[in-house]
Formats: sequence, C-alpha cells, structure tokens
Amino acid sequence: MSDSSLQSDDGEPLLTVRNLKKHFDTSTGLTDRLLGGGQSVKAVDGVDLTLHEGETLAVVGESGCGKSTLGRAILNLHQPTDGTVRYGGEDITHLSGKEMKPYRQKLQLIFQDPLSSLNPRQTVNEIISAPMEVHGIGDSAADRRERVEELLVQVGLKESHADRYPHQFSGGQQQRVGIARALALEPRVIVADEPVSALDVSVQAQILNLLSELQSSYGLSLLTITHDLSVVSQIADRVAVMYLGEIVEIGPVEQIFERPQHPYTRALLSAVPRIDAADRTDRILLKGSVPSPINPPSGCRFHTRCPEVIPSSAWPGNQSTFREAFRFYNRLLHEELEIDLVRERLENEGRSTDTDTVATQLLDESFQMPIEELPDDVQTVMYEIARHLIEDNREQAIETAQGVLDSPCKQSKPEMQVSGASQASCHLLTAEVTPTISPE
Amino acid sequence: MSLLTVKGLTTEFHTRRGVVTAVDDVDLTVNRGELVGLVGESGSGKTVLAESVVGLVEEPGVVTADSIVFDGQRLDQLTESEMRTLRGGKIAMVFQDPMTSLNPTISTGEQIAEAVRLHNDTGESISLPAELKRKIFGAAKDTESWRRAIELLEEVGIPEPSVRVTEYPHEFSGGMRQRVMISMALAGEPDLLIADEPTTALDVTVQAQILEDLKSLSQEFDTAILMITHDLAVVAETCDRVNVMYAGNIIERAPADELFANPQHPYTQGLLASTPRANKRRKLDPIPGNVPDLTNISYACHFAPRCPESTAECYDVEPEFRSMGPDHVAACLQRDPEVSDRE
Repeated sequence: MSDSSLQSDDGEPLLTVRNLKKHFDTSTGLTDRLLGGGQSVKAVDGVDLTLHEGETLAVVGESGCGKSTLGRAILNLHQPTDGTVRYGGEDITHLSGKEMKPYRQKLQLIFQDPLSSLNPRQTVNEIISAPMEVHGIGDSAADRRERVEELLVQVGLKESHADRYPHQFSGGQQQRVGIARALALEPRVIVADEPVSALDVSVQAQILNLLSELQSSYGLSLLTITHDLSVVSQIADRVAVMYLGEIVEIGPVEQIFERPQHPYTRALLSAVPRIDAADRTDRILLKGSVPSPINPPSGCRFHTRCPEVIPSSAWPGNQSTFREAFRFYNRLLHEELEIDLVRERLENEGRSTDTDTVATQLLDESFQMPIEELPDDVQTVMYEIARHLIEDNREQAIETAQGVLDSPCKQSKPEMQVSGASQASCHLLTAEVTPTISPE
Repeated sequence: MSLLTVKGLTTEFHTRRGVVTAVDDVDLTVNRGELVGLVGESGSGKTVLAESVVGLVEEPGVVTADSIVFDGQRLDQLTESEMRTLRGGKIAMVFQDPMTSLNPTISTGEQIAEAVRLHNDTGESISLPAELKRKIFGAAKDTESWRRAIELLEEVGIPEPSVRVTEYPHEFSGGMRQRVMISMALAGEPDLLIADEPTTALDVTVQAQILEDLKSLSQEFDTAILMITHDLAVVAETCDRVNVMYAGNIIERAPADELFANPQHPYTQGLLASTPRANKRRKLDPIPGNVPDLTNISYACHFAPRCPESTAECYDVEPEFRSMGPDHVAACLQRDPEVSDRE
C-alpha cells in the first residue's frame, strides 16, 4: 500500500498527504444537528498522495469528484475532517490561521477564474504587493513596487501594467497577474485549480508554457487540478485519477495514458475527443450517472457504472448479461424500479397486468436484449427476483438477488495495487479475485 | 442538396465606442443531413453568425445579408412571426447551458409536449388559456403530445422515459438535461439543428455520449447539424466539414479530415499548434497576443497583427478565398492558390 516506490531518490517528499478526508455536513441548524437530520457529503474520502520537489502532479476527475476540495483541504483552506498533511516533515493539518501563516507563504494557490480572484478596485501593484506586505517582504513600498515590476516581466507582462486595474486586461493577462501574485512570496508549492479552463486555446497554450518555464526556473512543485486530460499530458509528471472522493489510480503520466489499469481511467481516456484520427480508440461509454457522494456505493465506488464489473461466482451467465442484471440489482437496491408505473403502462396499452407479464415487461426494460433470448438459468433467476418484487416482497427479492449478483466489487474495497511506478485500486488487478467468467 | 445558403452576412453592433463588426461579410453553406462545424475562439463571431441566421440578434445589432436561403425560403425576408414558426420547428437550437434554457417550475414532459403541440398538428388547443391550464394544473397525460414527449425522451437515450417525463429539470443531471433540450429540439422534426457549444458545460464522459447521440440522431432523421464550438477535437470527431472563424471572418473551410491533416491558414495552423493533445507532450507553440477588439478594425486581414507570416500587403488587401485543394479554401494572401482546382 505504501507508495515508497513512487518516491524519487532524493528522499522525503515536500508534501505528504495521508488518508485525507473532508466531509461536509449538510445539516442546516441546531435542531437538525441534534436530531441527526443532516447527512455528510464525503467530498474527499481517504486520499494518499505525495508531491516532490520540482515535480508536477495533476489531479484529474469529473465534476463533483472532490478534486477542488482536495486542493483546498491540502492548503488547510478547508479544515480536513481526518488524515494528515505534512509539509517538509511538519504536520500542518490542524494549524490555526496564525500558526499557518509561515506555511501560507510557501504554499500558494492559483484560481480558475482570474477576474473574480482579483480585487477590481485595486491596481495590479496593490494586488501583487499585498501578500508581500502581510508577510513582511520588502522594506518599503518602493522596494515592493520594484519586485512587482520584476514579477510582471517574468510572467510576460510589462512593468507599466502595475498601475492598471484587472478589468483592463484580457483573460490570459489576468491569469498572468494571478500567477505573479502567487509567485510574489517565493512559494515552493503552487496549487493551481483549473488554471487554464477559462481561457481560449491560443491563450491557454501561453499560460501552460509560462507555468512550465516558471516551474523550472524556480524549482516549484505544482499540484494542478483539472478536468482536462490534454492539459494533464502537457504539463504533469504524474497524474492522480479521482472518482467520488477517492484516488483510483496514480502514477507517471506516460504509463497511465498508455497502459491505464483502472477501468474508470480507461473509460475517461477513451472519452477524450482527439484531433488526430490515429489517436482515437474505441469509446467506452459509461452508463448511468455519478452516484451521490452522500451515500457512495460500497466496495469499489465505481462498481455501479463499471463496464468490467466482476461477476459473482454464482452467476450462471457471462459478464455482459451480469452487467445488465447487476444494474437491475442496483436499481432494486436504490428503489428505482417502479412497478406501479410498469403496471399502469401495461393497463394503458390494454395488456394484462398479471405477475408474469409485469415481470417480463420490467426485465425487458432492463436488459438490452429481449428476456427470452437470455440463457435459461439467467431467465429463471431474474424472473424469481422480479416476481418477489411484484408481489411486494422487496426483502425476498433483494435476498435472491444477493445470492447470485453480489459482485466482489460491491462486497469489498479494492486495495491499491502497485504496478511498475503506478498504482491502481481495482479487484481485477488482485490475484485472488479473478473473474470466474470472462467477458464474451 | 444545399439546405442553408448564407451569402454576404454582416452583423454590426452600434455602440457608444463605435461599430463592432461581429460578423463581417460571411458566406456559409449547410447541406441536407450534413454535420458542419463552426469553430473559433471567444469573440470570433460564431454564435452571432448563427443568431443572425435565425433572427435572434437583438438591439443594437443590425444584420444585413445579400441572401439567407433555407430550404428554398428567403429567411432575410420573413416577418418576425413567420421566423418564430420556423425556429424550434424546421430550425431548432440547443445551447450550452441546459439549465438556463429549461423552465424549472414545469415538468420536462410538459415542456417537450408544448414544443410538440406548437410545431405539429396534434389537434390539441394551443390557445393561451389552454396552455396556461396545462402549466398550472399539470400536463394532460392522455394526449398525443404527452405520448410523443415520452417517445422523444426515449429517442435521446433517457432511461425509463415514462418515469422521467413527469420530473422537473433539477431532478436531471447535466447530461440528461442536455438530452432533454435535444429532445425538445427534435419535437418539430427539424431539418437543421444549431448546436451552440452543446457539450462545453459537460464532463468528458458525458460529452462523449451526447456527441454520439447527436451523430446518430442526425443520421436517423436526416437532420443537418451546425455545430458551434471552440473545441477543435469535438469538431474533428463529429463534423463532415469545418469552417474556422476568426474575428468576424470565416478564414478557412475544408472537409474535417483534410483540415486537420493539411491546415493552410496561419491561424488554423497556430490554433492546432497551441492545442495540447491527450497522449503526447510536445512544445506548445502559442499564437502570440490576443483576439482583437472588433470595434472599428481598420486593417484588411484581421489576423495580420498576430500572424507570423504577415506582410504590409496583408493590412491593405482584403484576402479572398483561395482554393487549397478539393473543397478546401483559405483566405490568406500568403498562400498560393492551387491552380489546377480553379473553377
């Protein structure tokens, strides 16, 4: 489980995150809290990662996976619920604002929307020199002004821009101002949250190049949070793929892009539109939507959508029929199967509403092929589950389903498996749990 | 073959600071059943061009055109009420943010059913009192339009359409909402679907699904799609032909494969050189500078100030389209026309 294999030769990483959790309470008041009415959104749920001197780590994931919360929890802008963040060996997880101050200087943040992160009433000089003043850098205003002008030139702006206001700049120039402000304190780590996603392509390339240049000239460590896999391959050394608050795969960019181990990473990469026809691969389309982080799925969190979900050993059919039956099972568990509506529809169409007809209709809607075309054993099992459900015996239906449909992916959480320099958490990678029936 | 032919379209906004020429004398053709890309960065005029075609440009915008012909009909000569019948009917639109285009207080089914009633002869009353009654007391479920709404939801790949049809927009995920928008657009059985950044607000896995949907719907219903986007990769994967726009002009036009294999205009080349690819790291070669302010542009080629190849001539002489190969044109004085292919 340790990621010692990921550490570079120079030993201790600059930033070490262990089992970091950030849960948000949704309770809205005292009564809610007393009565336990609120639920907790598990935005970040047990993340381990390290960031080394001078490297760029990208955290990538879809909206709602918790990547931005992770960035803020690492910087102690969100008080973590559990776990530790160490910077240069010091535990900074629970420091107060005041205690945090010396570390703030070393850990800086760049935001997605440059304009809303810059005070519209301040000149660029005021914006960039404010953090220097707070941290006591520079002896006088004139001194700081000189430093501001230096920084502006470094980020590709002009000295004279110091007296302008944010709205007088284009989006790309505003982002340059944001970068200059982050650099003002000579940080060692910069967390960049979607630094280029608000920018046009031609300008985006300018900022990506600037970040790379600054990183090598300052020896900065960069933690980039992004949804854009093209940006990842452009600037990152390593990448961490997040799904529902957890990291499912982490490792060197080339290795993960060329040989993704986790089915989610594979699906994500296959979904990226490509300009060059030769780069296109068969698309893995994911069914269903991302589950709620309030009550995430048990075991592997991706199991509800995983195209490679492992069939239970008791399943009589192949993987593809299992996948569809499994989706049916998940909907059963989440009370999404609406028998009344099926019955109503049959009635409207003037058809019989006896148990067998309703069951057939229900199963037909769940499987891509007509239920009669499925293997007999599969039909028998599925009919039994459907009948229990229609006869209002939900517990019995679930029990029957459990017997044949409980995938190992649902039962237990996969451990991180090391493969070369990368790691992924998927049951397909562990020797003990191999699929009993291979996909057709 | 051609479904939409736009000739010499110019859209100007008269502001206090001067005249902003958002679209500058543009020609555009969309053939029946074809997927056409209109790609450009923000401020290139791609959205205004589409809005101008369907008469959605508002004050202080002024649209002039030599002609806009859709399915044999002169759109530039239609009255506003004739135009309104066409919009959402034969020409439908899908926008970037589905949440702001849907009414949060009315069930999705009723919103689709309304589109069905407005653009089809279902025999149901579309008088104001009848529509109000449906909005306040809920949709009439024993009607043709309601049944069609369920069918449309099914066609765009929404699971359990007969359940989802009664739900409200907030109960749908972003991708599902965009599917609802597409199903509404399909209600009038359009010949042309204008999709303005239809997947920009969506996650990449959802984007992949929606793009697949659009492609298959276009085939199934023989609907032409004008896909407006800033994303070159989206265009590369979905479109038959591509128009590249820059600062109010279409500067290059070619079949998609040809454009990405053999880009000719310096702007298209620059755009491709500055786009990161998901599988290979390479030095990005950004276009220097920024998109120009479109107020009172005085020079001929709008890309000249950022162009690595521009000469004094580029600032003075309007670049006409030159043939670069079969069905491939670029507006650049620095490119020699392919003589063999002249008409």
